[in-house]
Amino acid sequence: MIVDNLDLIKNKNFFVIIIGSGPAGISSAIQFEKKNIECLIIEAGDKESKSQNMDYLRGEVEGQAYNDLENSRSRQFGGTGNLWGGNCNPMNTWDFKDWPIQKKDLAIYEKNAKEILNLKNNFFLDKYNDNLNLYNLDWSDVKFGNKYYNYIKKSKYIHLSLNTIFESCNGVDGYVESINCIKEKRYSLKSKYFILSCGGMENSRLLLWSKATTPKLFSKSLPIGNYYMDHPFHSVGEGLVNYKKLNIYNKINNIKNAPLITCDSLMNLSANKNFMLKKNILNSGLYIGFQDANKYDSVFKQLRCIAPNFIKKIYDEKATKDTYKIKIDILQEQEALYNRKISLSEKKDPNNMSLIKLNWWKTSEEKLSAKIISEELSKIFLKNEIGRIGLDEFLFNDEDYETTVGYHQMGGTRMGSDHKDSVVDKNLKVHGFVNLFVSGSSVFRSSSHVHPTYTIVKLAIRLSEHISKL
Amino acid sequence: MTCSSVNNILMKKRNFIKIISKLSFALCSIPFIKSINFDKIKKQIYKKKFSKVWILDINDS
Repeated sequence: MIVDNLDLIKNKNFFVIIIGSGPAGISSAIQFEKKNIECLIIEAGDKESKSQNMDYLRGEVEGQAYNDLENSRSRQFGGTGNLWGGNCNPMNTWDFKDWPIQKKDLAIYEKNAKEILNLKNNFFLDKYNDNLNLYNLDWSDVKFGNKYYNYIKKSKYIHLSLNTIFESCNGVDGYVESINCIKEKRYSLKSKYFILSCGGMENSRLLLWSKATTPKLFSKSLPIGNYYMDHPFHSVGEGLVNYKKLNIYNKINNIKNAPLITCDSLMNLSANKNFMLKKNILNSGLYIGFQDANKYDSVFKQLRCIAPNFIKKIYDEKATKDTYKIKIDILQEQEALYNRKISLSEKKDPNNMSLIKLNWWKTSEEKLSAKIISEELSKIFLKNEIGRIGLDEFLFNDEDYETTVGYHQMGGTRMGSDHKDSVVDKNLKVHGFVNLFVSGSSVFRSSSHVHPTYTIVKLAIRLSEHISKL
Repeated sequence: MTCSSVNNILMKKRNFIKIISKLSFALCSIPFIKSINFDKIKKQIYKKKFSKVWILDINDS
């Protein structure tokens, strides 16, 4: 149900209050509802995005160029779950190697997560050659705000208060008695448990702000904001391939789930565990897009100059129609580094709370990893006469390169068993706290190269299951 | 003929048969070697053009 007037519930003692209504907050609330547990979601934004809310999302960026912080996030019901691209895929077993939980600990929540995200297909990870794996993405059509507003409006157990800004916590020695929030006026709301689920960056900001305003609540020194990660996304090259030969290669090598390559197909490859260990590289997802080619394309022109016999062979074999242009992009894993972090800026939002200061940069290891994985693909196509690939020159020199990021904000309140290098434990409870939990991609301990939402939803369902049993 | 000389002749015969069988296997395999290992013996070269580094076969140019 929608709570327009907080005066009506200000004396109600909820079982759990969820701060933030993005994919993590909504997924947790749905799971509580299934167990007939009442919860309250407070959302700082409105049902729709409002331009004045951008002033709460601005911030400073140090280090290297990063997306505008105000355009990377959304302060509205559904959060960035209204703006996302819908791509989903699961993290791999070895991505959890430093986590206090394993992939199998999340596997039991896959069915529920797929329901929330309207996912229909199964995920696969097939061996492509000795070094690369073939994997797939599934696409979710869910815009969280659209799909779940009426659902929550009709719900008996989920209460939603919009335009309600979290301000601070009240309590001592890890026990949060209540939270202060503003909805036209100030309120103090009580609950048995509190879940902070405001997104990959905002979780760190609000926890840092809580520490600054209520230091007696924090009994331990925690690395809040540290180990921040995103997924750099950029082009690595282009090429010409014979799609019929590629389909034959996939068939004779028994690559079970290989897509039948046609125009506008997409093929995803990533490094396997042994290749990553052997080459000491981070993982990446290669996005190989196939398009019609014609002889006036720059790819043809370049190869005509430097590989005339290859082009002649295409004409001799009358294979121009079978030749596609490919564009290769990469979504890269970032290592969790202590100093790549979110901290509080001296600049303030309209509510006089500190804005974010982000220190972010790319590393030479990331560039080397992109080069090695892309070269491996080029060698497969060369050795099997499938085609030729030209890789972007920056991969071979020390020059900086343009990249966007995946808008996948991870880390900052990462999971772990030791409070010196993590903020939450395996059950997402903040170290040293009794009843404060954090949910969302900020708890990720490693970034892998996979899209985070599917994992966020599974973690949120798991958290609700855990809290409901307390 | 002594016992040891008979053994020597038998040994030589066995070795001869072994060599012949290995040779025949090797000869029969020749037509397949090219198709099996053709991919592996390609020599790759890196060539720069504009802002791309192309990974090519040595015979492409």
